[in-house]
Amino acid sequence: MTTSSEQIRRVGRILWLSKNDADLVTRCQTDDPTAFNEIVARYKQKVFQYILRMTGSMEEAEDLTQEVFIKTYLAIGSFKREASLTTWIYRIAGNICIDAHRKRSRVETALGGPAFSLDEHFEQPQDHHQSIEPADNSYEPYQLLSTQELDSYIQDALNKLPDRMRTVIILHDIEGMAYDEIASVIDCPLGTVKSRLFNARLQLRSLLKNYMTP
Amino acid sequence: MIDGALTEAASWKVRMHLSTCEECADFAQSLEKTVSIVKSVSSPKLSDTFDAALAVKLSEASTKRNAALGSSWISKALYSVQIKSSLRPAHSRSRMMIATPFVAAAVVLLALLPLHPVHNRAYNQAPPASSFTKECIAQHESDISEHPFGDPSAQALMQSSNDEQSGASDDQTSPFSN
Repeated sequence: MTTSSEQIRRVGRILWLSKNDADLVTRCQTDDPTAFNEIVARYKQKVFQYILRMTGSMEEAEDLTQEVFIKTYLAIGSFKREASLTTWIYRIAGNICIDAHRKRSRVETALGGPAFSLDEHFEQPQDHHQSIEPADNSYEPYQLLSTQELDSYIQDALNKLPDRMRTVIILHDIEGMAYDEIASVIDCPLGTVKSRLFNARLQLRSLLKNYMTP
Repeated sequence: MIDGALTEAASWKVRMHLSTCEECADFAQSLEKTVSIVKSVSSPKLSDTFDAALAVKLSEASTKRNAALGSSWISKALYSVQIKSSLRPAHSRSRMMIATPFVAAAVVLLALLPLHPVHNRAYNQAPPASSFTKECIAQHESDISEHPFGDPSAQALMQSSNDEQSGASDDQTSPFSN
């Protein structure tokens, strides 16, 4: 019962957002300068969060978020509304992440090693794993960690997933997107989205097992 | 089950099974915990300078676009291709990257194809004949019609034919000998 009322609320929110998005796009296409600011205000935090979890670096995520909005701004005049604005923006963000990853790989290959480590916000001492001892079984080990430490472990685990799985799990479990929206963003069948999500969760389950009670 | 995507009936069946199967119940519980850990990740805020920096970059991009749109058609086309390619889904862009060299090669071949008949025509065309050349050709043709094997290229053939004839029957004379 709760699930169905939640679903109804969610669908209502999506419809409201899509209508507003459509209005914003129309205004952008008729050269209304305030409309694009509204799009940035609406999506910047979500896009930043998505890119941050894809790249693991605060600085890079901020730069790439800017790049997403520049591309959106330049192309919104030719946006044909074949997909929703949300889908379109996330698709641009995904492509930018892939491009950034390719560039980084090229630099790493040229230098013969990793071009840079994860951002300092996510870096932790090497011996941190050994220092965590669950004091009481009534708490989950991960609940004993500080937010920053937990973020670091989750980010490390996400970084170990293949790109296609990481994209799906971030979009679903962190960004809260529905299966069909994700399918539209990554341009894959619904079944592929579900199987990637399941496989990503399986891998994360083994990667994060140290932080769960047996 | 975890995402609330199952129907009531399917969800009930799963719950019934989990109540009797410890192994599956443990598995489902660990997956739920994994999801809850991932969902608990924090949402860092963008820096305060983000909007100002974006405004500057948008202004630069706008100037660049206006410059591209005001210049030649090729710049406009390249600019448009550049923008549109960045908006395609990643896997279709990969396919494009793979296909581009082949498409380029095909275009070059197609462009070169009409040149071949021109080349052939150039090589096959006879040089303009002068009156002297025409006389020579006429003389040559009349010689050949009168003495088909008088042509130097036929001498070797005639010789070999004579040898064969003499080997087979020595008393016969060659029909070609005068």
